[in-house]
Amino acid sequence: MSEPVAAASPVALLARRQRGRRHLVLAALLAGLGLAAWAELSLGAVALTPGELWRALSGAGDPTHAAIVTALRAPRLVLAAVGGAALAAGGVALQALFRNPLADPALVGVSAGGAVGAATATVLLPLGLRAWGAGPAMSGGAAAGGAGAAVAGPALAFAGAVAAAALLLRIGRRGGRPNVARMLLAGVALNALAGALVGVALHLADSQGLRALTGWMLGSLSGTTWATVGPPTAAAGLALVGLWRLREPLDALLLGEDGARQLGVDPARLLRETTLWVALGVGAVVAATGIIGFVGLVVPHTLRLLVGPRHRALLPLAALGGAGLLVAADVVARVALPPSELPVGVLTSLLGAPFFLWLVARARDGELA
Amino acid sequence: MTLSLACAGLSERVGATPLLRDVSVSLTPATFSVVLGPNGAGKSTWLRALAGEPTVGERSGAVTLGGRRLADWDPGELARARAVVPQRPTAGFALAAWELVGLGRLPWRGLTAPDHDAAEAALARVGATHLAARRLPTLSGGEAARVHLARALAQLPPEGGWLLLDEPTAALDLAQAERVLRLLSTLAASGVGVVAVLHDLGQALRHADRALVLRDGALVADGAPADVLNRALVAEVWQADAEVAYDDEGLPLGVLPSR
Repeated sequence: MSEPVAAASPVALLARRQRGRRHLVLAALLAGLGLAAWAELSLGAVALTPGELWRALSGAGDPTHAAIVTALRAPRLVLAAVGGAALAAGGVALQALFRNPLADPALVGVSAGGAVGAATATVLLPLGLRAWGAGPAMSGGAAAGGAGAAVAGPALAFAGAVAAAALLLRIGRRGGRPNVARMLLAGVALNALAGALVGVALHLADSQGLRALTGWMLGSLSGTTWATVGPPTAAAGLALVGLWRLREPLDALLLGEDGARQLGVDPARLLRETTLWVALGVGAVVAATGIIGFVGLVVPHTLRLLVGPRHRALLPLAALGGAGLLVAADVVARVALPPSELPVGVLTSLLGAPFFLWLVARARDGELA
Repeated sequence: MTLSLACAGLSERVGATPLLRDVSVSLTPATFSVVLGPNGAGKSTWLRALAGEPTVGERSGAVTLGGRRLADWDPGELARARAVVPQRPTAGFALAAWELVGLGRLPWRGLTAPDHDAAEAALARVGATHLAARRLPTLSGGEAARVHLARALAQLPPEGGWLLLDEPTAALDLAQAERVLRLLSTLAASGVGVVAVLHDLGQALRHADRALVLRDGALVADGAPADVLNRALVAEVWQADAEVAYDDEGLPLGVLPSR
C-alpha cells in the first residue's frame, strides 16, 4: 500500500491547517487593530508623529498633545473597540440562532430597540418628569438628572434591545424553527417602529436632545469621554464572556434545534441566554454610540469563510475584527472631511450595505425562504 | 455494557388524532431492529419518542434507557449514550464534512482523547474519508447522508450505545444503501443497538435481526424479518397484494408487488 501518510489522517491534517489559518487571521487582526489604534490616537486636526504620540502617552511631551490623546482620543478608541467587538460577537450569536449570515443586530432591529430605550431615558423621561412637576428641582436637578440618565440610558437601552430581540425571535422562529424571510421582515418592522418612536422623541426634544437623538440614529462616537466609556465597556465585556461560555452549545445549534438536543443541549435555554447576552452587549453599546450597522454582518461572515463556523475561534476573532473595523471606520470618519466629522455609522453603512446586497444577490433560493 | 432501551404503554396524539397507540417494546442492544409500516403509521413519531425528542402533541407512557426514564437522564449523559440521524438533518453555514463529524464529539469534550481520531474513524467507517474537506452543500444527497451518519457514529460511546436512524437509505443509490445497511449490521454485531426506520422491505429482510411493524400507530408484528414479513401481513398492513421473492437457498430477497 503506497498511501501517503497525510492521506491516512485527513481530519488531523485538516484540523492542523485550520488551526494554522486561525493563527494567521489572529495575527492579521491584531496587527490591524494595532494599526487602527495608532491611527485613532495620532490622526486628526492635530496630527502627531509617532515620537510625539509616545511622549504624549508617557506624559513627557507637550501638555496639549497629552490632553488630546488621553482625554479625547483614548476614550474614543476604547469605546470604538468595545462597541465593534460587542456588535460583531452579537452578530455571530444572532446568526447562530437563525443559522443565517444575514442576522445583523442593527439590520434586524435589536439595535433600534436599544436606541428607543436610550431615547426614552435621555429625552422622553426627563420631559415626562418635568411635565409631572419635578420642576422645582430643575436648577440643582440638572446634574442629578444627568447622572440618572447615565444609568437609565444603558439600562433602558438594554431593556429595549431585549424586547426587540425577544419579539424578533418569537416572530422570526415560528414553530421552533428559524425562518429568514420572517426574521428580515420582522427586522424591517422593528426598525420602522423604532424610527417612529425616536421620531416622536425628536419632535419633543430640545436642541441638546435633538443632537443626542440624531447621533443615535446615525451612530456616532463623537463626544466620548472616560465617563461615558465605563458602563458600555463593563456591559459589553460581560456579554462577551457570557457568549464565550455558550460557544459549544452554539456549535451544537449548527445541527438545528433537534440536533442540538441530541447532543445534550437544551435549545430553548440556549436561545434565552444568547438573546440576553446579545441584547446586553448591543444595548449597552447602542446607548453610548447609537445605531452602528453592518459591523455585525461583515465581520462574522468574512471570518466564518476564513476560520470556519465553530464558535471557539469565531467568537473571539469576530470580536477582535469588529474592534479593528470600528476603530478604523472612526479614524476615517474623523479625518475624511475636515473640519467636520462624519457619523461613524454612516461609514459602516456605506461599507456594509453593498456587502449585504451582495450576500442577498448570491444567496440560493432556499436560503432566504 | 450498553443499556436496554424500552417503551411501555407509549401513546401519542395531536389533538384528536392518535399517532401512537399503546406501544410496548423492549429493544435489546447488539441488535439491528427495523421499524416498518406504511406512510403515516407512526414510525418517525415512535423513533422521536425513543430518542427523547419532544412532541408537538401529548404523549403518555414511558421510554426508558437502562430502566430509567429518558426525562430523568442528564442531557449530556444521554447524548453520550445514544445518537440520532434524522430524516432531513440540518447543518448550518456550509460546514466542512470533517467539522460536521467533529460536532458529534461535543458531548465528549474533555472526556476522551483527541476528537480527531474518532471523527477520522467515523468517516472511514462510512467510506467518506475522501469527502473530509468538502463543504456540506457541495455533497450529493447520498454523500451528505453518509457524512451525517458518520457524525452520529462519532457521538457513540466505545461500548456501543444506541443509534437511531430515520430512513437512513432514503437518499442513497442501490450500492450505497447496501453498504450503509451492511455497516449497520456490523455495528449491531459489535454491540451497538441499531434502530432504523426503513421503507424497503427487502432491505429489512436482507439485513435486520428484528422487524417491528407499525400500522395506524399500533405495533402489529414483532419478530425476525423472515417470520414477520409474510404475504398475509404485507397484504394486511400495506393493503397491497405482494409476494416475497426467495433466492435458491430459500433466503428472502425482497417483497415484490404482484401484478
